[in-house]
Amino acid sequence: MLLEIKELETHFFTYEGVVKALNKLDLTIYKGETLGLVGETGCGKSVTALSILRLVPAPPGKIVGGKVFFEGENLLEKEEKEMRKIRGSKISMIFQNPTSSLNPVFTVGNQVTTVTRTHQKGSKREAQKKATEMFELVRLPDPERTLWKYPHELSGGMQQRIMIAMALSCEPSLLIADEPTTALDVTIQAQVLNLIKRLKEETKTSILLITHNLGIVAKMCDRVVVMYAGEVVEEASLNKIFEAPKHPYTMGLLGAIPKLNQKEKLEVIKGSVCSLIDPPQGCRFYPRCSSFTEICQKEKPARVKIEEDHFVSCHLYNF
Amino acid sequence: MSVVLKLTNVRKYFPTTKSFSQRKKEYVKAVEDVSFIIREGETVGLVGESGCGKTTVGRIILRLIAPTAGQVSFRDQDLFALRKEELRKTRKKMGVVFQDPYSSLNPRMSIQEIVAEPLKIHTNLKGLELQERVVELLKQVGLKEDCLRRYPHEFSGGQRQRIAIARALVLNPAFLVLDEPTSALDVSVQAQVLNLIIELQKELNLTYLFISHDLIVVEYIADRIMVMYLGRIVEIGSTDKIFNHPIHPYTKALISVIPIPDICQQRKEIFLEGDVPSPVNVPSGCSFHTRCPEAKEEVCKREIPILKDLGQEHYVACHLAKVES
Repeated sequence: MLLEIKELETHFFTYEGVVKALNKLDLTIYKGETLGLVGETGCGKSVTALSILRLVPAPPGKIVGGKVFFEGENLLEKEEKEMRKIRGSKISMIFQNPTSSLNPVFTVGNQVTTVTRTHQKGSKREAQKKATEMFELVRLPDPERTLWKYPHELSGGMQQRIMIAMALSCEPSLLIADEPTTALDVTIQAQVLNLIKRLKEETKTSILLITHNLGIVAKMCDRVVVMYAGEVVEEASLNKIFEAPKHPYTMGLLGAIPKLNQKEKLEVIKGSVCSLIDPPQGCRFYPRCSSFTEICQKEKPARVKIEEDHFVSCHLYNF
Repeated sequence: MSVVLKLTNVRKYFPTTKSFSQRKKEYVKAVEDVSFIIREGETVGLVGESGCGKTTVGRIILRLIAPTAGQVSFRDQDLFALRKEELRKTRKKMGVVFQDPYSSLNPRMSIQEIVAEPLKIHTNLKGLELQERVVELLKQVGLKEDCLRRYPHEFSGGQRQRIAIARALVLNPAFLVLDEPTSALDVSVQAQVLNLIIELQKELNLTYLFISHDLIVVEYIADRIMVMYLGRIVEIGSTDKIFNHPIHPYTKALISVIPIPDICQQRKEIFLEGDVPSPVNVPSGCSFHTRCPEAKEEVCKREIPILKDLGQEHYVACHLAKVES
């Protein structure tokens, strides 16, 4: 077990009211696995990632409760100084939009060496050598010259490769990838995904892959966590999520995506996501659920273990 | 079935301002030699990566921008030869839905004003009649009457896209350009909007040009698909042909790398090297030869391939494609 999140609660205190972005979230990441975190916009995927790194913008955000154990230590109790040592070295992150996550006024070489020189000992020359190696690893053409380029001189795909090189340069034990290919084209996306997959096999880094694209999940992940409105609704291995989904929301999601050579009408989850300021009592999904009963409106469903490595939070399985 | 729309050798160059002296003007060749037809009642998908000229084609069809060369005819009328009055009449028959429902609806107008605006410009409907038509449309796209006095910010993305669709349909058009209508939406909402688009087509006998980069969505909705690369159409064919028997190496690669939400299917992925070249300096000959895994012959670097007819409405622009006899 590498990372264990227990009953994490992150709230945003806004003018309209308290947005309960994460509501008692439980999540576990094992060593060497790729965990897919799936859900729709606003369900709390990115807030989970930011909470792990304690980067939730405050104010208005605040982690109000819970524990995040990383390698046995609670990250939420650490001093800011210690957190800075962890960010970028033990846990690193790739963001969705590479163009806005690189600093436009420094060369990419400068930005990558800054990471290694902050966390590791060694001269500037050594750091540059390391950066060149990393660029080779992520298959950037002409690594030594790329070092001296500015972000605007590189394409989106290459910028994302730089981000990956930067994230992996200190050999982290956990890599958080937040929609790493959403801003990229299909052919470039394929290159980048393939790269991440290959690097994971070589370095044995655990990956938390946040995405809304179930196609990417099917291609990349070992286990999947499905989130809805700030809560985990289902957690299972890849096969079980796709072949035997249990939660009505997971089933709905899988039915709503067009598949190749399918001509039947798409299944629809009626309505839209509930407000996080004033979520429904009981199960947060019940207003959109096709098989809800009375108890769903009143009681929050408990997490039920259906099989080894298959958990679901739904009253339908609560016997 | 009659031809609704016909493009012949359409070309669009955008000048780029590079230096103060402007001695040598450079052009972004956004659309290069594009010809195709769309027949009544069909859904044609236009796919390609960002910057390949998909949206520019859509904008030319709607006469929002003028092409540098070439002809666009809508129901046998040359769109760019039309005079003011005639153009107004033709415009009524075309509609558009844009990608981002957050920026395509005026935040200061109520839903009633948004949907009624085309009617006020193109028809003489007033008062109650006008309102009735608006309500009818809103019901057709699955919204309730009480939306009328509300404003765009009160609606979610999916609902806004419904409003945009209602606005596009209010004049009873025959042809709609759908420019990435679902890419800003979540999966569950995307399914709702896609179903709506399909239902409306059946009810109102509409013809669609569906522009998208999401190949799975296009596969689901389109009858025929056109694949664009660097401003040119490289392959046109029925959805089945494009997905199950693609001929052009670019189409093959594109289809092979779509992440499909299915764990059983094992496919061989074809990875393209490098990035799309800049549309300012398009490679000589076949513009795809720099990334093409199959291009070996000299002819690829020298000559621009033209669309070859392979029969059964399947056209490919590749030197290596063989015409079956």
